[in-house]
Amino acid sequence: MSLLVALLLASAWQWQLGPGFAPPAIPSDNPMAAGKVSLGARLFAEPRLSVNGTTSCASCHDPAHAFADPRPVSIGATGEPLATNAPSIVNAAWRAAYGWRPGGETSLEQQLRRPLFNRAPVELGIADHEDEILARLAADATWRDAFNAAFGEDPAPITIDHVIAALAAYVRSLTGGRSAFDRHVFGGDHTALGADARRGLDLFYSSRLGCGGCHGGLLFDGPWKDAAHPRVQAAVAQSVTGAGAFRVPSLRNVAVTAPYFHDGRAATLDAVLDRYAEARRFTLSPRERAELLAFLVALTEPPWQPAAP
Amino acid sequence: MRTSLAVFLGCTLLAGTPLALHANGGGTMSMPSVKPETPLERAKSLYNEGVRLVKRGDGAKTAEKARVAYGKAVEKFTGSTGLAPDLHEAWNYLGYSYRKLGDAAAALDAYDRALALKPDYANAIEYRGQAYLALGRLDDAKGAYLALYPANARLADQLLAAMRDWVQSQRQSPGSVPATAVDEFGQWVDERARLATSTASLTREGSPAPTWQ
Repeated sequence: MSLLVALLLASAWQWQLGPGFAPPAIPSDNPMAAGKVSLGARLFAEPRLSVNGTTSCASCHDPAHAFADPRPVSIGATGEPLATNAPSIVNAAWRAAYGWRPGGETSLEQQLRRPLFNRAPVELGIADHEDEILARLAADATWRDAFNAAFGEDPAPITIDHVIAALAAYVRSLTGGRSAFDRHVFGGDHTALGADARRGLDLFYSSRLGCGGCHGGLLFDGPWKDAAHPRVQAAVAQSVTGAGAFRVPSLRNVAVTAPYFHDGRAATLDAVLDRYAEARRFTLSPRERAELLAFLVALTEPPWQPAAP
Repeated sequence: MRTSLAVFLGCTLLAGTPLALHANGGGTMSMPSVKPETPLERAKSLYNEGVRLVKRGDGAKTAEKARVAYGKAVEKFTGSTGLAPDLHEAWNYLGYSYRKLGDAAAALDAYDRALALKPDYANAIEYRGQAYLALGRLDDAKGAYLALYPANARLADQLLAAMRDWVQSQRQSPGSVPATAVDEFGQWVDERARLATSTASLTREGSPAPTWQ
């Protein structure tokens, strides 16, 4: 093992968290480590991790869009459209469960098996092709080095379990908290939010609009909601989500995660506000609408920078 | 806690009870039923005596009686921390007692010791914020508030109330801090008060890590 590999393997992970964020809970069997995160970052962008070498995790979770899919619904490696839009995975480390629907996986390690192994619809489509895909990676010396750096204690480190562990570690490393909103509210820099955005904050949390009632907490997200939920009017559920229950997505980075809703039915934030105004029977003056939009934009962070290895 | 330890009234002082943390600092500490012998046991005993004196000071009817009680409390907590330098609760109350005696610099030293031992000790962060205020170190006071805000809304609110009181007192009886700095700080505090009201759902007391479901 080279000195570099040994150093990467041994190096502890340092969280780069925004103000207000506490380190997330990490599974004891998959601790964070710089070498593992670095490997995960590379795997995330690697098309060879799909059945036909065409699609990577980043194909749907686009780093340029805060790791969300700019298409209405995501497309699997074989060209099959999925039922939903791939949401942003920034701050996924703090989520208690994953997926748009109730009953989703409760750990990233479990969740990652879905895009990797799903057969209907196919996402990355590696089911029954695991050996072939691992062989592709093992044939490349740079991949061998990267796996050794992350899992060098294992004599045969290129395994599906290690692929999943590294991807999970990388996704957990995608933490936020550097938006203008964070600087204003958690950093105490009261010049960070402009006047419009500041008034938009009050509108967002006002009882008249009630946005903060569902998009709550540090992540501006919430649990699954449908027409049966006591806090959701049937009209809201029908207009916003259609049939069934879907989780309330995070509004962090919402300026770059269009289109919106689970099926990408709203192309713009204006269209989202139109739906809510109709469903919740509130009206927004043009000025209020601009202020609310300014606040939503202020939840968006500077262009994403990959975690340093 | 602004300036009162009245919440202490619910705490027991009985020997042999487990360490009870009350709202704004360490409660009394468990003690063996026999005469204390080890340095740690003696330190805990002194700490408990100091806590009783702090209560007495907080409830005193006159300023003189309060001063006497806090002065004796300083002696007890100084003895306690001398015997057991790792008792962060004792350092915290030593700071409190000093602050009630008007010695903000000595209070700050004690809070620094408490927080060096336990950096996330919210009670000491809040107290230290008040000591910063007394010393006119406004940026440090802001830092204390911002450290509390996401993690402990109740203590953050208490420090914010102390900040508002400080601004009001400075406007009534100007001290060494320039009026422009007081006004600037007052505006900052007003904005924090507005944010604390509108963004209450952002902070989850007792649950520092964000989550959903």
